[in-house]
Amino acid sequence: MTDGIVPRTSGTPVRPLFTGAPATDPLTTRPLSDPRGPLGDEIRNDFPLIVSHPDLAYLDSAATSQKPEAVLTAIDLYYRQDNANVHRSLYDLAERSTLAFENSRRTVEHYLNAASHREIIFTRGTTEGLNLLAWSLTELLVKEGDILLVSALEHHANFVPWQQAAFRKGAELVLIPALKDGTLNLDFFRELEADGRADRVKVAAVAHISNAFGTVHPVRASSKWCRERGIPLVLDAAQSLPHLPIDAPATGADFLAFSGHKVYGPMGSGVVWGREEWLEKMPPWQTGGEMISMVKPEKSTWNELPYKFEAGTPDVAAAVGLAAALNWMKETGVERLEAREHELELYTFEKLTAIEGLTLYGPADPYRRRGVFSFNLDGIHSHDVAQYLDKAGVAIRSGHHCAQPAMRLMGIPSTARASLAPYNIQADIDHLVEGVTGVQEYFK
Amino acid sequence: MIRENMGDLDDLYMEIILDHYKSPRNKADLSHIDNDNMHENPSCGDSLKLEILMGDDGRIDSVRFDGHGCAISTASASLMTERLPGKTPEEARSFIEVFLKVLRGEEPAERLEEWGDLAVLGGVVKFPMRVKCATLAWHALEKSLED
Repeated sequence: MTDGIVPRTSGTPVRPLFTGAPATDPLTTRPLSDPRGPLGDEIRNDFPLIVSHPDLAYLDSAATSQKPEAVLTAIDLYYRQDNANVHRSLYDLAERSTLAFENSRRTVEHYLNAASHREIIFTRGTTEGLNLLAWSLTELLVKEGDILLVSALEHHANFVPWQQAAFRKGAELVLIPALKDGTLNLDFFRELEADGRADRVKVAAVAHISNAFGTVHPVRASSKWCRERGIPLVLDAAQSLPHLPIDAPATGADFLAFSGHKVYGPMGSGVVWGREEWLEKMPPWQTGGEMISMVKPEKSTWNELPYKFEAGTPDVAAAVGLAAALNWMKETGVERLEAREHELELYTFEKLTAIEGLTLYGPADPYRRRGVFSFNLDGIHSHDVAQYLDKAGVAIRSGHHCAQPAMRLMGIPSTARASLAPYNIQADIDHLVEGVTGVQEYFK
Repeated sequence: MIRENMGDLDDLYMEIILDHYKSPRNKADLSHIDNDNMHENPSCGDSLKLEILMGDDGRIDSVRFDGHGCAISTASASLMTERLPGKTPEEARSFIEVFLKVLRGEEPAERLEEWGDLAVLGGVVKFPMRVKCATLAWHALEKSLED
């Protein structure tokens, strides 16, 4: 097992996959074990929005994914049949609502292979989860002169909370530098050891997959270094959970945060997974109802895990929808989804790299990247590319992708970004390529 | 699958805009001006610097710009700098005010017609996501006149 990405164990090897081992290691092969075989285009029928927009090439799933019918139904049924506040009342309906909420937590627990439901905290999304962790971990561990370690490639959600925590604590924010191909320079750990700064590092946070460039970060290399020093490692899994089967404890990280809306679940849903031994020690982030045990004028005590970190009435329907999304992925076959998507990624990589005047950012090896294709066209601004593509029926993102430090590092103000999901088809990529050719002609 | 009707797109990228994008007027290397004077559109990473040269008569002699932007923001900067020479700072301020009101939809696009080619920027109102692109240079000018 490498990097917390669940390996396939039997069947015919279909393609090599990045193992998450240091960049010099050879790629390994992972066979598709699902007896149902590869997933076909019929998967599109599970997504009402995709069905009702047959002419749209939706290539912005890194921003948010579309939702399968199963998720929409679960949310609808929750409100129609089970809605009541959770964890409070004794009547039957309240019990049903509480069960729906806690069963959703169990679904997440099992999906991530967490040790217990106590390790699963529901949030509004990755950003809220990372704010929770940045605040609580620095309160617990960081004092003046300490170092918070993040990477130069982070989304603002995994950058600004640490930067602000560093300001609050008088600590130093140190960035793991990135290389020109959008990978991280992990030799930096040696540098930190050599100049003695390693001893001052108290928390580290890194994205599993870069939302700006699609780089898959070799988590094990970082988590091994952190574990040897007792430094908690936070993994921003917002972009990896939709693309890779993930065994959270096996990543070697201590915390992981992701958003439901990027894994086919509803907006406003999210999860923090953390190792219980850390969560027990950490102070609560938000306070109020639900998260308390006993409240007196002179002091309050906190509820047990995970409720200590869930102040106020939660978005139960969002949790139910998120669980429905994970169940949909499981039932469809996580590895089948991944295999289908990766086939399309290889196709996209081949098509885009063949276009003259197009610069594709991120690793030059298609097996070391996932989901995201960030590019620029010579002499044409990404906004103009996206505007033209919209008229051609292709939805992509343009801009800095909430990763200004990463963009600055690459010396570019913005990129156009196409991102994939299993409901995409080759025709979507063909339309993208046609559109790119069209925009080059238009602005020639 | 390019849609049959690209008409809307041509409303945005009119000939004049494409022309000013491909051959911007008054665009110059302003690396001698401190980057602290760079005006940025944080939503897209566009950036722009202005240099205003005043004449002895208290009127604007010329305005040059430098920076990086999309077709709309570049063309808007180019068209703006063409109309500025000869204006007093006061006239420039009311010029900015009218332009920004039109782009915010508070005044009809016809208000721009007296300014010749610049009137094509009125079409951007129909593309709300691009209004910020068109107004970047104008906000930069507003700021520069304050300083």
